[in-house]
Amino acid sequence: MIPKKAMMDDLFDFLFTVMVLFFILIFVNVALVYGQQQKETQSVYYLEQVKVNDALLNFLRLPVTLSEDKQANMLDIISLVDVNTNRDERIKAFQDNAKIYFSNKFPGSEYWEGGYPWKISVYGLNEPLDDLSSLYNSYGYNTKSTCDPTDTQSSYSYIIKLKKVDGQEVNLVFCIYKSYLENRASNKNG
Amino acid sequence: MVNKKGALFHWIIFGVLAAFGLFFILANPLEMGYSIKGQWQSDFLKNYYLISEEEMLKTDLNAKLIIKQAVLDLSQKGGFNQKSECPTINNYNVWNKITDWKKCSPEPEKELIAGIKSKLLLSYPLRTYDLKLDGLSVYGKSNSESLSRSTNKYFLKYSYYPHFRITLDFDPKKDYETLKGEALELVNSCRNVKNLEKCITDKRKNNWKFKDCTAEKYTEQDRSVLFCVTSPQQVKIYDTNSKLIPLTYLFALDFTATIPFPIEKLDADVDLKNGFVEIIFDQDKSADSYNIYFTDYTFISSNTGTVAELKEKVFSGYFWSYKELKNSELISDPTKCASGVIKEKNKGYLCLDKVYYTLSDSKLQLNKDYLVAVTTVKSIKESEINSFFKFKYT
Repeated sequence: MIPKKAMMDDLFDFLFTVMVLFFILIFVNVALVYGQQQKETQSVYYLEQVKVNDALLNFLRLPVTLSEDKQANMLDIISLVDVNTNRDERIKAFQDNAKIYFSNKFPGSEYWEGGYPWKISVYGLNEPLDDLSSLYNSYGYNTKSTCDPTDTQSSYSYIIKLKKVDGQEVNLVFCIYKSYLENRASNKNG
Repeated sequence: MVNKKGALFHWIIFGVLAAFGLFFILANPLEMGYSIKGQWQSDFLKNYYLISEEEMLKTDLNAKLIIKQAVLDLSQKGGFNQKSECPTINNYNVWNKITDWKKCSPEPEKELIAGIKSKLLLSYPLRTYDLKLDGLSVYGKSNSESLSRSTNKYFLKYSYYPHFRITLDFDPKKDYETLKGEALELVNSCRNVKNLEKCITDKRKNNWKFKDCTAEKYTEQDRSVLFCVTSPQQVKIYDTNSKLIPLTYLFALDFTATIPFPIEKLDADVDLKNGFVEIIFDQDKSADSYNIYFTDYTFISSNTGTVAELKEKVFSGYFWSYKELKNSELISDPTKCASGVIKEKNKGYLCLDKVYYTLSDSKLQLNKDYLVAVTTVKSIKESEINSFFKFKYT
């Protein structure tokens, strides 16, 4: 016959084992579920990047009506093709259209990092990207954006090189905060 | 003391824990079965589909720039990429050769397509474009381009066609058609007029300028005149300095006359002492010869027309006679030009671009009125009589 003490020992060992296995399985479950969510969020985040690139390409084909009912698109405005209008009108057309278009594509009711989550600019090829004297510059409504295309840690940028009518090239730069995209991704996933 | 069964059970727990530990260390279950979903698809969209879309967007832009540049280049060469078969004057292509417009006038569609093609080839040496011009649109059809990647697991090839359709805000052919029509009208109106500059200035449209559109200068060489004409559609285009300029066409037109010019100013001076009437008129270098007509029928002094028409009006009993003088037979001797110098009868003397013909004929009688007229002859064709000069042989 097994003594009582030994039985109690076995019982506690058993209970201990059950508890340990319970906690281990909870840990594994949490770890796996969290990992899966992370991956899914990352997957949606990648898709958000694709959407950013796609949005910028579509923006360039956006039709614009200029003075004297002249039809052009954003690509024409940047490259100066077909646009018999002055610089001020071109800048206004670029800014107004960019604000409406990207605010619809990437809405944000709150300020992001002290400004708006996105910024679109056109720079001469030799101009530094942070030069505020860029050819065209557009931010969200009524506020500026601090999104810095050179800061690849915190921002995602898509740059397209375009040729102008004089043969010179310009950089069209769209910058958006990674945190904004991640937030969109987790909201969609969540 | 723990019995054997209890000890086994006790150690099994540690074995299970060790197994879990080993499993976590070696297998990393967080990664197992949970690779990022759709990563390959996202990567494909980003690095293949969107890259090709970007390339096609750039193709559209470049094609537009190239087409505009080709239009500008072509207009500056009067519609020819290469030298035309017809002559050029100061690098201005002549659009006609006397009355022949087929050989010399440009074929804008063919030339424009050739110009665009050569420029596209410089930008895209691996593409072969089949181009078509249809109204305001230029269509470009190309062979396919592909993006590919090869890994241990797969081979990926994404092909796309970088075609384009560019719609211009003007019809590039229409300007040439309008200009050809206007040029034909202008040449027909002025080719047989001696004072070409005046005729063209009076008859040309406002957008037609001589040689240079900003600082026009009348330039004529062998009756070919240089023109700079701004686009009839009032097209404006950016030049390579990003400056918006009106589209202008540079070309020349040949106004070679199809009939000889009539002599417009005529004078006569009777020289009874030497027995001739000196007929004075401007030399026409393009003429082969001159016919000097004279008649005693003075009632047609204000008439003009062809020689045959006027001769018919002369009543019987009156004479209608003429002398021929070849341009090559003109005596160009400055000593003979001075007054008082004895000249030979029925000879032509050239003095400061004026012809002095010493008309002498037995039909001329003293104290009688006569009419004299001069026509030019070129390649058998004879000019009309523009005016008569009346003189009394006294």
